[in-house]
Amino acid sequence: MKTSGKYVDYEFHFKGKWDVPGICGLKVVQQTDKTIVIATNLYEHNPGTSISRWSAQLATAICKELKIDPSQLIFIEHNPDRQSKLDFYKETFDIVEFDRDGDLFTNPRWTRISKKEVDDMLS
Amino acid sequence: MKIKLIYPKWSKLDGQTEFNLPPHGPIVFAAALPGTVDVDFTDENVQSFSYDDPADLVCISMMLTSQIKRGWEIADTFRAKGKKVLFGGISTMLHAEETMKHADSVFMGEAEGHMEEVLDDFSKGKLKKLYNFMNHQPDTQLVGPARRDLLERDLYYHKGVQMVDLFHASRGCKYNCYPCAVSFLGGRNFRPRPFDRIAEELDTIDNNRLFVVDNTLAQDIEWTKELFRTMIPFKKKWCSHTIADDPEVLDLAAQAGSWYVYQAVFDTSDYIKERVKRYHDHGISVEGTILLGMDNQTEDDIKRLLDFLGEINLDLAEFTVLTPFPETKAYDDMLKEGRIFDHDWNHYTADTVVFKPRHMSPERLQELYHSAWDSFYASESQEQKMFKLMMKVVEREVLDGTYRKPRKDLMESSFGKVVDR
Repeated sequence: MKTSGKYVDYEFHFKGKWDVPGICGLKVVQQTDKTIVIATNLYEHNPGTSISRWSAQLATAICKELKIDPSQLIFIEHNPDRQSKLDFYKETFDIVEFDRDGDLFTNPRWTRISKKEVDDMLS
Repeated sequence: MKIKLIYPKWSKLDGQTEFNLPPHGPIVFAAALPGTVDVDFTDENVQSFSYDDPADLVCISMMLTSQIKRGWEIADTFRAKGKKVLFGGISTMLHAEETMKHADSVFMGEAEGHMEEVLDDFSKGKLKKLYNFMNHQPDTQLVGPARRDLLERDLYYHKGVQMVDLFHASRGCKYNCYPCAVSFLGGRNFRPRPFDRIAEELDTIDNNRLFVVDNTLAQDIEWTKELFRTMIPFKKKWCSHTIADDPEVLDLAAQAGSWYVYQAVFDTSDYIKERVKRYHDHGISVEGTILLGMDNQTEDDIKRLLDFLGEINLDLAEFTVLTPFPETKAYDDMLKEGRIFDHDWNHYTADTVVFKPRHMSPERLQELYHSAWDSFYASESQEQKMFKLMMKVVEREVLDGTYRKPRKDLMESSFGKVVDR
């Protein structure tokens, strides 16, 4: 799995479900009034919990470690194209919204967005 | 110390001939217990037990999601009687948070090398609510041989014919398949058992037919070749999941006794057609495993797939509907899209639609599932096809002198129950 590219600047290591270490791709874009974080699923390159299953905890950990104001976070989940003919490995982007309990995120909700929408947000 | 070890019953796949294979997880777990522990095992699919059976500790081993509600029920009853209950196994790990509500203790991970600690805590009255060994996978040198001596062997015969014994040569999986949770359960690293330990276990199995349950025999070509070379002298015949598509591997597999493989048939490509042919060219039969309800399947795609099965000479076929088991990408995707409408784990048997398919209604997918079974077995029943498959292995066993005649004393029995011949 390629761990660099347009939507991945570096690997982020996190403690996943049952404390199993996990890895995702990360891109952080600071804008005037918001911080866009793109977390990329690395599939078999990730030894632990998938970012979908751990999105609330992952968003919490990213904000804490990178000192991002949780109220300014725009969290995007990215599943890259695996060059498979099976639809479920096509590239997808979802904006993930959470409830907040202080610095903790809970109750993730996903909304599918297009690549163009992501690019527009980043530009 | 006396442990009551229970493997809860579950409903079998709708439309498929019912068979009960000797359980594997519980007897692998039992092999990890200290030698001083006295284990009394019940496979509830073929045996019954009493809640008054003597036991210091009750252990419930669960493999399938469709076992867990029964497992919880058993635990609740034992705990009401004051017994401590420890849960472990594959589906315990997939449903750990829920299972903790019914348990004194939940074990996460693989048992080898860890049970002394757990039982020591129990003896001191300090059993922990959770034993999390997910980051402490054992050295595979410690694995097995499984405690097949705990099985009531005569219960795993159908009309005198012994069912296959389950056996595993490796753990973990480097792949990331859409409906599968193995990489969560056993880790993403392929962890083979040492060949001398494999041989030691094969030597203990009083059965000339096996099911090699490794989720694929295609993770490491050189290891797979050496595995088959290790197996050849034992003259076992065995079924397995996919074998690496390599002429030398397939040749060695055939020499090692490969009888038939479960091969996923996911499209109507020449690749699949040729893949099945290459198995057949090596004398290996093929049971197609056909998963219905994937997001890339329209109703017409499914119909084309069913027609295609008739063209590729499958020896058997098993149909399932996509089921979003926890810890799979299928589950993640369905959950994200709000498509799971049935959360009753008893329905997660892979024969019941529990989600909204992309291209049809759940009801239509359910109909197509049933018609798939009916159409594939229309001209020749499942029993007839299985008989043919059985004859192939009998011929090979007769040739190499390993054939065992059906047990006359069990000819009128099927998994412990009296049946007509």
